[in-house]
Amino acid sequence: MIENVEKRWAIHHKVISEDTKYKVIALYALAVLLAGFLFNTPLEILKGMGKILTSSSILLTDYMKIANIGSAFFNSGLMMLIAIGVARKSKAHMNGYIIAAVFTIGGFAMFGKNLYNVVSITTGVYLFSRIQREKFGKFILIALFGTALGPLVSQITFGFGLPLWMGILIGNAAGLATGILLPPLATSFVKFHQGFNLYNIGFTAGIVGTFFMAIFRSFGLETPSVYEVSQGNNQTFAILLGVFFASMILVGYIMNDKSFKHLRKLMRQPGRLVSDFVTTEGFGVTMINMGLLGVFGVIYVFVVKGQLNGPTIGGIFTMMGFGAFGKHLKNALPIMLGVFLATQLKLWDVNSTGAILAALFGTTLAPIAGQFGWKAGILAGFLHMSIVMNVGYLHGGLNLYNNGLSGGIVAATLVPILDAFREEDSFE
Amino acid sequence: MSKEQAKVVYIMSELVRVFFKMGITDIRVDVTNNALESTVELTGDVKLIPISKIVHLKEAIHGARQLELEEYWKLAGGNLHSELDLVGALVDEAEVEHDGDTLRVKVTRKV
Repeated sequence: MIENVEKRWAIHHKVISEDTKYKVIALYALAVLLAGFLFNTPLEILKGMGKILTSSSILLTDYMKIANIGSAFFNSGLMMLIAIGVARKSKAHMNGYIIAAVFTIGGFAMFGKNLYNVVSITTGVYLFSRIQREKFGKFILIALFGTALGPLVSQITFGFGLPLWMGILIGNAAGLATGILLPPLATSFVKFHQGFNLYNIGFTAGIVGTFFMAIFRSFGLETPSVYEVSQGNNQTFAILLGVFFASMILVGYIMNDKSFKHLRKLMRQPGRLVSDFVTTEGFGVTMINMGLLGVFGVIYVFVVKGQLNGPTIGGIFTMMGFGAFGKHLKNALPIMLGVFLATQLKLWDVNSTGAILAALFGTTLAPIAGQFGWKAGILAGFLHMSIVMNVGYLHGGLNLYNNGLSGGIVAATLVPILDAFREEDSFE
Repeated sequence: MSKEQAKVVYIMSELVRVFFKMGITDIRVDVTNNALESTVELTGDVKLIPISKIVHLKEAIHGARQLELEEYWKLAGGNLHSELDLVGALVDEAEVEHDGDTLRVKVTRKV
């Protein structure tokens, strides 16, 4: 009986080696880095990196605007490669969660994360693992996603007008403290939304950012309102991203025995934490799913006549990355539709960068649609649009995963109500 | 109670939840915990369980331990929704046996 079950699993799932998975993801990261040289010369990229590293980086700071396009892509690819290196060093499996983390970091490295502002946070998480005498691998996701608070480090260093040496000292001390605080908080806060908010660290970072901002304000320190976003590059970016995502679908198709098998099964999963599609359905079909989400993200921006820029490309990258860890078209679309409907009835323009980000990052609530159906998904998206536009003030733009904070609040409120009106959950 | 013991409680709760969902209401649970490892073993009397449910159970806890998912351990057994995949990620070994009358699941988590 047990042998039969194991045989059936082995027949239906092609096992891809860790080495191969690492190489494939690293190649995509390298492609993003090299894409930078299509737009700018090495010297321009170097100068742009200087601007990125010394920027306060709070929401919304598009590195394509404050530096240049080439530097933004270079920074994104570089950050992804470093994340892959850290994961490899800690002997992490290149499964859905690491893939999601890598592309999320790459996405946010277009508008907020850079080598300077992530190091102290990651080091803080590492210190926590040493203090607890546990393997760093247990906290690798917190170390990677925790970089959401990078702007905290940059803002203190460059944004509050402190002498540089003092800014560096206090900024990195805050980063270290954040890294040490995040692991216990992340483990605890996941219960708040019951795994229905995929950006758990985003919610956690939002709370930590809120604390820091409250303390800053009590000393008379305020973060400025920033809205630096680029525009006018839709055609070029659409071609670039189209090739990128189409190649993912093609590579996935080839690695999935030249088929789309398991895709329907993948899309039947609710997607709640933890839904590692690489483990349950295979690496190849997961790549197909990621590519499809990426393509749809680009189409959405065009349909609403929005702009492809650092933040929106970051949103598309994050949505695509979580195509390995909970999201698929079936559970993401209702959320996006809910956000879209909200923009038709509420104050915000559907094609504003903020509204597009709410639609793309709002898919953090995809598990609600996956578990409770499309109507619940639309409702979640509709509510998310209002909440996300109100929580940014709390952390003053210090938490890059603003939608994760909002998603946590929406999920924690909606899920108990939806549960109350359901008889039972399914076996799966 | 240590954090490790707390994790074992959550794993046990999730497995009991799964047995209930499968319609098994007469369950025996054995839990051991020492400095090296913890085991949770559940046995339930059942005359007929659809093969699809056994396959799903086996698949979900078939994978090797994934340290990276340790952060989410409080989701196991903590709500109405299945976290069987998470249990699979939190344990090093899993045995699933079904002889027609009895279903036995044993998971081992090394410290």
